[in-house]
Order: sequence, then structure tokens, then C-alpha cells
Amino acid sequence: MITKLFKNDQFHYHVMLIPVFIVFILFNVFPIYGVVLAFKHFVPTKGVLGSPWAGLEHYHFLVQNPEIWRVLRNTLLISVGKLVTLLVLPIILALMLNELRTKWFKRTVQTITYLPHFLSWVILAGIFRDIFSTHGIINYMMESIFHIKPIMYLGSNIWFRPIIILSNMWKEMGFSTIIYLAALTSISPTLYEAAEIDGAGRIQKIWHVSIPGIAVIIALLATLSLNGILYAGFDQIYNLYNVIVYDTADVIETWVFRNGLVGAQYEIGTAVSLVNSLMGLILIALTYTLAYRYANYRIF
Amino acid sequence: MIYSKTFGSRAFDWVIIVILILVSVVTLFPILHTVAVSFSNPAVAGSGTITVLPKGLSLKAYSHVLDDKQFFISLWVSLERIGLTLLLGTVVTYLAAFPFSRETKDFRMRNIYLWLLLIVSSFNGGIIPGYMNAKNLGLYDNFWILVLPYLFNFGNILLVFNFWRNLPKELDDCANIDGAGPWLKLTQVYFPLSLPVLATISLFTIVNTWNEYFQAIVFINDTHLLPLQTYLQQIVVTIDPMAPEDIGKGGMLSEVSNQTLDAAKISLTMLPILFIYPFLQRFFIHGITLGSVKE
Amino acid sequence: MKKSRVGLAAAAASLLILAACSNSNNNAGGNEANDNAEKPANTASATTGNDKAATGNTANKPAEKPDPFGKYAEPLEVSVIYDRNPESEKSFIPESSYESNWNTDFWLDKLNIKPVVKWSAPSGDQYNQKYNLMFASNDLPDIFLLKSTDNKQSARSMLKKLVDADMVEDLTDAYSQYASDEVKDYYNTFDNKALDYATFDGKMYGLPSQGDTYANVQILWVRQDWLDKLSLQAPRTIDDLVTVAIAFKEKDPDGNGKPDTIGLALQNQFMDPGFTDAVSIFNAFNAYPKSWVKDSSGQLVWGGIQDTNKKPLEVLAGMYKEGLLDSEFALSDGNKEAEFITSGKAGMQIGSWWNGSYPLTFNIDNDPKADWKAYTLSTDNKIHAIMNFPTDQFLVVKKGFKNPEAAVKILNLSTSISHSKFQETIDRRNELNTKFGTDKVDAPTIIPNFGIGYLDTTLRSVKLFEDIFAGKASVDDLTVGEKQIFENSLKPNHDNPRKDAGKYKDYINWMSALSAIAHSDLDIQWNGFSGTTPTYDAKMGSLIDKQLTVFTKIIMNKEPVDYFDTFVKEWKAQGGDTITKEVNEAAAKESGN
Repeated sequence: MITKLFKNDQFHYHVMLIPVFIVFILFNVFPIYGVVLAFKHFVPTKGVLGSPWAGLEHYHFLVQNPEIWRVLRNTLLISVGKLVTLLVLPIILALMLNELRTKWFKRTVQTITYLPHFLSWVILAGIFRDIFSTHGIINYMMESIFHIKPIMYLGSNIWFRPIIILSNMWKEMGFSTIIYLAALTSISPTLYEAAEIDGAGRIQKIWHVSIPGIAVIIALLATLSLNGILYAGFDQIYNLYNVIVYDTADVIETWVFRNGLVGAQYEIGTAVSLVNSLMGLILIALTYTLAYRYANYRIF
Repeated sequence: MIYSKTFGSRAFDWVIIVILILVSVVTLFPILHTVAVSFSNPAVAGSGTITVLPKGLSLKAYSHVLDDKQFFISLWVSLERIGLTLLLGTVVTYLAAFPFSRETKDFRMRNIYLWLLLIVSSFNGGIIPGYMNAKNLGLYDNFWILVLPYLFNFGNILLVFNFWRNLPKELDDCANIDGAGPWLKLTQVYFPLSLPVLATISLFTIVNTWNEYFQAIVFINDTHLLPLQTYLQQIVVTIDPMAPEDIGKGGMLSEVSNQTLDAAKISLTMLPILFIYPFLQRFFIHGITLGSVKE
Repeated sequence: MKKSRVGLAAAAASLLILAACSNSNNNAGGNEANDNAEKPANTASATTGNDKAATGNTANKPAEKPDPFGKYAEPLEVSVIYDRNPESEKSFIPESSYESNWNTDFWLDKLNIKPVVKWSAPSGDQYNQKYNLMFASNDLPDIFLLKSTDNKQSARSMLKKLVDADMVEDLTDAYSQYASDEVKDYYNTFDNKALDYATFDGKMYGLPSQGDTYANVQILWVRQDWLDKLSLQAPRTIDDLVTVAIAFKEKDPDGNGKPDTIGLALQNQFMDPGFTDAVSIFNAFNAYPKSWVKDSSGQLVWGGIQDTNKKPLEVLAGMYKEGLLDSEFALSDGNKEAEFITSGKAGMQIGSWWNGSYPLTFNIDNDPKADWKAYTLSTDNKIHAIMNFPTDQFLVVKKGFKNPEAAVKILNLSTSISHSKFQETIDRRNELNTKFGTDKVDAPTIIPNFGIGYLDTTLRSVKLFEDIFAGKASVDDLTVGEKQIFENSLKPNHDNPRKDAGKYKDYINWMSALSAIAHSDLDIQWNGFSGTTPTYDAKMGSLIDKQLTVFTKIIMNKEPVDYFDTFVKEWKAQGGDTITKEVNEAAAKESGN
């Protein structure tokens, strides 16, 4: 009986999954009942499950405010903007680095570009305010080269969102590149050699060998990044925005931070997080199904 | 790899090099600025005139951070935490990735498990049940609360087995013909080819563990179990002009301010990261020679 | 959500750093006051109702007469929490920790109360996180100090939550039986309003702090060396302020030949007190834009929609137009704006008495000539201000703790200590001075930094200091705490100004700023409403946003001053009227019970 079990691969697969499921059950499954807080009035002495139901009151609080639609629009625009830039630019950077032959240069560039990941927005915000100020370097260059009058970039509803998206791209680009670089190294050199023999140039090799070679990872990361669709980056926006640009800069997290129900922060937080999880899951499932149905490709 | 040295190809190289130098310079500026602030006199730093060189050179921000044995206690906690998370996390991830890399026909429960993990881990019960849970498990104020919850990382599992999907199918077939079972494949066939992706998730684990500070705020009281980032978070210059113990501290701000302190903390945080990456990079560069697989 | 929550808290903490004056936390606007005080209900209920609070104790020894300083026969272990300040801890003498120090022994000797540390966390973010979790998981220490853990809710609304959840003891009887005369006297100086503030439905659930409040009047700090150089009079009125601002901008006060100075440093949150604000300008015109004030009929109205705001807005808009303000003030938080001061580009700012310690400190370090003096601003010789209620902390006892009267005894003893009633503490201070110098202290014990006093304690102190300097009083009249300040920071700098640059900042805090406040004709009002109502909860946040946006746009000349009237209409229509109605009802109910 036992030897039969050992011959069955299915059994071994389950054994391999034991550790992950132990951790998963202890730290993901056990506390999950907490999501009901989104529909509760939390009373500490009664615990999460014993607290009285609030129905949809917390969602009503979020939706009844006319500003929430503006806030939701900003959140989605910024978060999608970040998603797209952080998908495309790191790929380009990785491809460029992959083309280089000088190892020390390659390493230096990689190391430099991934360091900003460790800087905090509190510090960066100070630097950005200087750079984009009316007396700052950007305005100075614009004025001396193109004769454009100084613009208060961070106080402009036109410029604020692009600045948020681009500065985030700059900060995280190098770090996101790591994964693509690793994927690029796993492409078999024989594929490049074959392309070479077919007379492919550098660009063609990138297009026909490198990109298809990392497509699996690109698709995976693109899909997974849908998970945080309602989070546009609190620290960054909070440290850079101001009342003049609330129209374009205010996102769910900053709005809840300023207007959150007094004393109901756990409930509201859970309510927002629940919607985010649901939206993320739906988007992931949708992407997964579409890719499978129309491209016959399984993302994972 | 063979490169043809045509003029077009060289020009292409130069374009890339110029772009990358530009990107590096733009990136280097804020980093150097941060380092410069960390070495500067707080009064000058506060005037906003520092660019990339320190002014009024001062090491006070660093001595403020390092002048406490708690720094070294916490550093050791962080290192232990990283070591254990890295070791155990990699094992857990690697083991789990293998069954999921099988086709559904080979591992019937694959999709069910996969979606179960994805769906449940997408939802977060929040901090209150998490706190109760840790208390019930006896992990409150316990070093292992800094490690155990991080051993399951869905993204890492996906990454590892998706990486394998790029490997030629022949690899598996050859192993099957040789009669290798799942464990042998896992250890002998896949492992050597997985170095780049293992290096990647190791890097992520190291960086995330190194930067993580919130867990200890919630779950740890004992200062001997405080990781470095949590400790660094605690060091701020606060002066309460009304508190008797702060009387006469007005002068302290002349030596160190939150601005220079923050810069020093970040510089210290970046330092080890600076060394780890080039080290792990070897795996990205030499990691794989798939050409050796029989075709 | 875990991640984003960290973000929120971290950002909040970074804002609060250095604005760490215990009583100056008015940011949240109309949150923290109640001046519809009833006459001492607590004393009445104390004599009539004799319920559970006292039974726990008196049941054991019914014959004994309650003694405010009675020592327990057996050591009484009390679990406590500490709000640590890692910076202050550096001044603890060696071997002194929260768990064990001279004070612990002293308390054990006096009351036989022994603190057991449940947890401790550094002030700010980490402490607040831990406190909120402790509350959420119903895991409180026996006796603790309740204070606001985010700037949206006052300590009083947090106390209300504890009361509603039935997590704290009723202290009515414990207080009436055990409070010392000294403690009662202090509460009496404010008509026992603080006690009422801790009372819900006739029962008192916490011992309220009664803090130094008048010192928080906002004042104008000016570069005296610039005034002298340009031969200008010290600004006393708003007109003076504008005149000096024009001179500071145009007459090259720093003498570098470049037109690179501004008139007044102003930050984006200019209606909140702290530093680089505009509170004094608003108050001078009787405008209180972020508080609930009483109108002529005695009804509570929101200060931000009163017509009195128009004049100050006009003044600020005029200053902006003339380039006297930072053209990008709306983008700059206080720390960013402080760069103008530090780099010697701004010679005036409005703020608090402690601004000598921050943000002026760096300018004084950078420029040995820089000399800052404080002045009060007025339009009618009176200094108008609105204050949050002087209670921002409550000492509370966990429900079910056997000895609730221990909290009252703790208050009795700490009040006596802080007013130097014990020779031991005075001797100890002298001992430390000779052994370790004046900067070193013993770690505090049980409940650090909790106390009650006059609403103008510091102002009384500063007058006493002045009398000593004038030879009209003696150092012996000072309390231990006052003596510490006097001998450590004030006296050396009085004899020899700026000898020790660090302590010079304390000197100007006291002898310039607090002195200016102490000698002015104060007209203090109390913010008329604390707590919240349903519509308040749902809409007030966005109305405050709206107000800040509109005021900012008016100052930046993007909208005319008359746009204020449109704002008022919109404010009322978008829930403001409902909030006002609810606030008045709630206030009436609070004073009626």
C-alpha cells in the first residue's frame, strides 16, 4: 500500500505542498475572518465576529460623498499610469542593458538605477519640490532654451499626475528591471545564433528573440500587478500634493486619510481593501481567461 | 555570443550607452544628495542649499544612530531574520513551485490549489485578527513572527514555475526516460537551471525583509528582538520644550536634525544593498547555458 | 491594507515631529472643547450615589477613612504602558530605566505602588499603533494615560469610546473620597470644568489633565537685527506687519545686494498653529477659521464662514500680490517653508513660543548675527485667541481593576511632586546636579508627564523669572522644574547672551516669546465643540478641505476676496448647515445632562 503511494507522483506533489499550506493556513486562512469588519461596527469588548453588523454603512459613507468619483478617477488614472510605465520602461531598460558587452558598465548602471528604490518619498519630495519649483532647474532650462515662462508644476492640475507617474517610474524602474534581466539570461544563446545566421540585425534579434523569450514573465507580472489597482501610492502623493491640485491628485488613500470616519479607521480600511481585492481578483481572472481563450495561453 | 562589428551595430551601442549614462546621472543625483545631506551640518541642510557635496561636514547624524548598542543588537536580529527567511522561504517556494509547474493532467489538483492560494491570499483580514492570531499561536513577542508569515509568497512561487516554462520540454522528457522521480527532477534536473530565478527571488526576499519594519511594531516588545529598520524608525529628534528631561536640549538640533538623520538612516540602509546586488548578479550573468541541453 | 496603513501613519508621524508640544495639537479643527460647562456635577453625585467604583476598595476595609496619600499595606502591582521618547532616554542617568529607578523606589516608599511594564513604545506612530491595537483587542493595562492617537479625534472622544465599550472604571467616588486638597484646588481654578469634561451621564471616567494653555497663543517672530539695521519699529499691528514685510523684501536686509528676501514665511497649512502659520493675522481680526465660536445669539457657528475672515484674507492676498509671501507657499509644508528662515531669506514668521527651538534654531546657528524676538499682533491692543480645551489627557483605570483609587493617589502624589512639596525630590535634584550635571535626570515612573496645573503656569513662571532678574524675587521661590530651566538655560544666557548657542534658544523661547504673551492683554475663547455628530463625521472633512482650497486660492489672487461669500453659501448647502444644527444640539445635550 505504502509503496504504491510512493510510486504515485500525485502523492509526492502533495508532500511538496505541505510546507506552503501550513504557512498559508496559519497566517492567511486563520485571520481571514477579519474581512467582515467591512460590514461591522467594531466594538473591542465583543471582538470582530461579535460586533454588531453595520450593513453597507461604511460603503455608503464612501459613496455618498460627491468627491469620491473624482477621487476614484484620479486613483485609477494614476494607478493605471504607473502600472503601464512600470511594465514598459523596465523592459526597455533591461533590453538595453542586455545589449551591452562591457560588464563593469552594465553592473554600474544596474546598481545605480536600482538604488532609488530605497529612497523614501519624504526625502524625494523635498528634492522634487526644488527641481520643479518656479526657480528650479526644470523651469530654468525651459526658460533659457525654449523661452517658456516658469510653470508651477506641482501646483498645476495639468502637470501633477504626469509628474507623479513619471517620478514613480524613475524610482522603481531599475528595481523592476532585475526580474527581466534574470529572464533574459535564461534565453538560450543558440536562439540568437540561429537568428544571426538568418541575417537578423540587432533590433530584429531583440524583437524576435529577446522579447518573446521574456513574454512569459511579462504576462505574469502584468497580470499580478492588477492586484493593487486601488492603491495609487500614498506616501508619494501625500508628500507631493497640495490643496491646489486636489482635483487631480486626491486618491482614495489620501482622501480617506483626511476624511476618514473618526474612530472607524479599521472598518473603512477593511472596506476599501476588500473592494480592492475583489477588483484585483476579477481583473486577474478576466485576463487569465481571455489569454487562455483567445491566445490559448495560460498565464500561470 | 557573436556580435558583428558593423558601423550600425556600433552606433546602436553608443546610443544605448549615452541613454544609460543619462539615466544613471539623473538617478545618481538624488542618491548623492541624500548622502551629502547625511554628512552635513543640519543648519546648512535645513537651508536647502546642498546639492551633491556635503557642506559643513558633520558625522553627528551617524554617531547618533550608531552610538547605541541597540543598533548592533537590531542589526543582528535583521541578519538572522534575513538568513532564516531566505533559507526557509526558498525551500518552501521551490518545493511548491514544482508541483505547480506540472500540467493539469499530471497534477490533477493543480488549478484548484493555485486559485485557492491566489484568492485567499488576495484578501487580508487586517491587523486585529492578525494580532489575535499571533497571540493564540504563541508568536506574540516571539522572533518567529518576523519570519514565518513571510515564507509563503504567492508571487515568488508563480515566478519560479513560470521561469521553468521557458525551459525546453525535452528536459522533462529526458528525465522521464532516465526514470527520474519528482524529487530527483527537483534536485538534479531543475535546480542547476534555476539559479537566475532563485537569485532573483532571493534578492527580493533580502530587500523586502531588510526594509520591513511594521511587523515588529505590532508584534514585538522586547528590544532584543527588534529588527534594524524598526529601530531606525524610532530614532527621531523630538524635543518637547515642556518636558523637564528635554530642557537644555535646544542645542541638540544644531548637531543633528531629522533631515540629516533621515538621510543617514537611508544611506545606512542602502549600504549593504549596494554590495548584495553585484554579488547576486553573477547568477544572472553566468546562470544559464541552455545550449548544453541535448536537442 | 496593512501596507497603506503604514503609509498613512508614517506620513502623519513625520508631520508631527517637532511640533511635539503637548498642548499645541489643535490641527484637527473644531474637535476639542466644551465650554458649556455645568456646575460641578461630580461633587453632587459623589455625595449621593455610592456605587461600584468605591466598593472594590471600601468593601475590604470599610472602617478606614480614605487617605489621599494612604500607603498600601502590601505592594500594589499596577500594569502600565510607557510612551517612550528615545531621545529623552539619553538623558537618563546610568542604570536608570522605566522598570527600576530612583522614582520607582520613591513611589514604593510613599504609596507602595509598584509599576509593571506591560509594554512601551516610542512616541508617535509606533505608540499610536500599539495603543490602537491594545484597545481593539481589549487588552488594556490597569492604569494608563489616555491621549489622542491621531489628530482626528480628541482624547475626549477616545474616552467616550472606552466608556461606551464599558472598558473603564467610573472614578466618581474614588475622586471624591481620595482627591487631595491640592488637586481639588487646581481643578477649582478652572471652575472644575476639566472634571466635567471627563464626565458622561453624571459619572466621571477619567482624571483630566489640566494643561498650560494660554502659552499657546500664536505670536510673531521677527529678525530683530534686520529691524535694527533698517531702523524699523517693532511690528505691533497688522499694518506694521505689512510695512515691515515690505521693507524686509525691498530694502535688502541681509545686505547681499540681491533682491532674494521675502516678507513673511507662510506654509500651506496656514490656519493651524505651530510655525510659519497665519493664525495671529486671522485672530487679530477676530477670525477663528478652524474653530466653533459663539455668535451674538449664543449659538455655535463655524469660525471659517464668518465675515471676519475677509479682512485677514484681504491682507494676505495683498501681501501675496506684492511678493511678500513665498509665491509657492501653497506647495510647501512647514519644514520646506522653514528653509527660507534657515537660509536667512525670511525675517518674519508667525508661530508658537517654542519656535526658538524649531525652526529658528538653524538660522541662529548659521548666522551669528541673527537675533529673533517675539511680538504679539493685534488690531485693538487686545490679543485674541481661541484655544482647545486645556484637557488633552485622561488618567483612566481599566474596568475591573481592584483599586481604582490608586489612580487618584497617583495624581495626588505626582501633583505634589511637581510642585516641589517633597524635600527628597529637591535633594535628589541637587545630588544629580553635583554627580552628573544639570542635563541628567532619573527615569520617570508610573505615569510620566501627567499633571494638572494652572492654565497659565508658564506665564506665571516667566513673570517670576523676570522678577528674579530684576532682584524682586529669589531663586528659592522656584519649583524644582522651574529651577532646572532657570539655572540651566536662562541665567547663563541672561548674564552672557549667546554664550551657549543651544541654550540661547531656550532663553528666547522664555524671555522673549513667553514674556511677550505674559505681558499682553489676553482675550481667550474656548473652541465651542468637541466630539462629533453623524453629518460631522461624514462631511466635515471635505468641508475643511474646501475651506483650505478657497482660502488658498483667494490668497494667491486666483479668486477675488468676494469669492468668500460664494464659499459660505456652498459650505452651508453642502452639509454645513446640518452640521451646525447637529453641533448645537449635541452641545446643548452635553451641557444639559
